[in-house]
Amino acid sequence: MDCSQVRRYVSAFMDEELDGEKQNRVAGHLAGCRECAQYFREYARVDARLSELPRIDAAPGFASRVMAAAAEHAAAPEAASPLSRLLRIFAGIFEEITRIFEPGHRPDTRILDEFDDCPPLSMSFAYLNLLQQSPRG
Amino acid sequence: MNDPDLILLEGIARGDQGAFESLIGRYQGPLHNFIGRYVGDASLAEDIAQEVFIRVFRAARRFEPRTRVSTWIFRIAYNLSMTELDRLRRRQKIREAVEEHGEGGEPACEPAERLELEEELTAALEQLPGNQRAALLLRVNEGLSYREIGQVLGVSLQSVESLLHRARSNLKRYLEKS
Ligand SMILES: [Zn+2]
Repeated sequence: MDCSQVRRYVSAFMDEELDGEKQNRVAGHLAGCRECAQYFREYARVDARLSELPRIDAAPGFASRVMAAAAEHAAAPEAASPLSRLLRIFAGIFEEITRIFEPGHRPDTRILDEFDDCPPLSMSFAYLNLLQQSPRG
Repeated sequence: MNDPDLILLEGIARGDQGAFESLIGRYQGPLHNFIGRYVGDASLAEDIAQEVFIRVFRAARRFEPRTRVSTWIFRIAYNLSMTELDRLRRRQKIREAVEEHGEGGEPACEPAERLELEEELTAALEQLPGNQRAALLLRVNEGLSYREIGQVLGVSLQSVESLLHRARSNLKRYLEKS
């Protein structure tokens, strides 16, 4: 393994994410090459500085606030104003329509999404986003 | 899959408040840190983290364990943070356009107690492309594996490797300059 290859792998080597053989070869090279070892140390310093960042944490009472908000969501999906209820019905219709035109299988990148009430990129998604944003703007 | 969080998620799906509280307890710290560092504003972290948990709460019943619960939670956080960042940038652009037309605006005031080093690092992080910054924070500050990061960002293992390599290389360069 030459120096340029080793430098390409240094980041994954630090994370111990190379396969066993590559991991060993990079380690062997670093042990014998001063320049690459220096390169490695500079990368390690970046990580060290990042790790020194103070952690941002939740403010006291965060869990209770979330639970109260969630309870509100759970209890009052129908308590919305008649207009927003109507819009929700339309959004549902839109969603159904867009589903009809959707190819049988969507690309895999979205499978982990939050299974929100409407698929991202659907008309209803854009629609609800607009609804959510209008009072804030 | 031996995922301890699955038990909590099943509890949440059944309406078990205690399970929800435990899940919040487990993830509120990591989420605040990741979101706050990703958007570069700790004060936004609470709102976004709350929205993440509400979505988890609503979708718990429909979760399918093709991935770890933790990865799923971080993915929701990542998507919401990206959206929020886009929204903030659009607003910033509008504000700048308004100021250009003579409205004038006061420069943002940084809290005095913010450490200089932290400020420098935060500024350097802000210069990274979003996906590089997210990958680096998830790896170094939250300890996720490449596989998990790939699932959070929706990219391949190779892309994760390359994102992290470029993130470290860029950050090194920015820090040398400052
Ligand atoms: Zn070398």
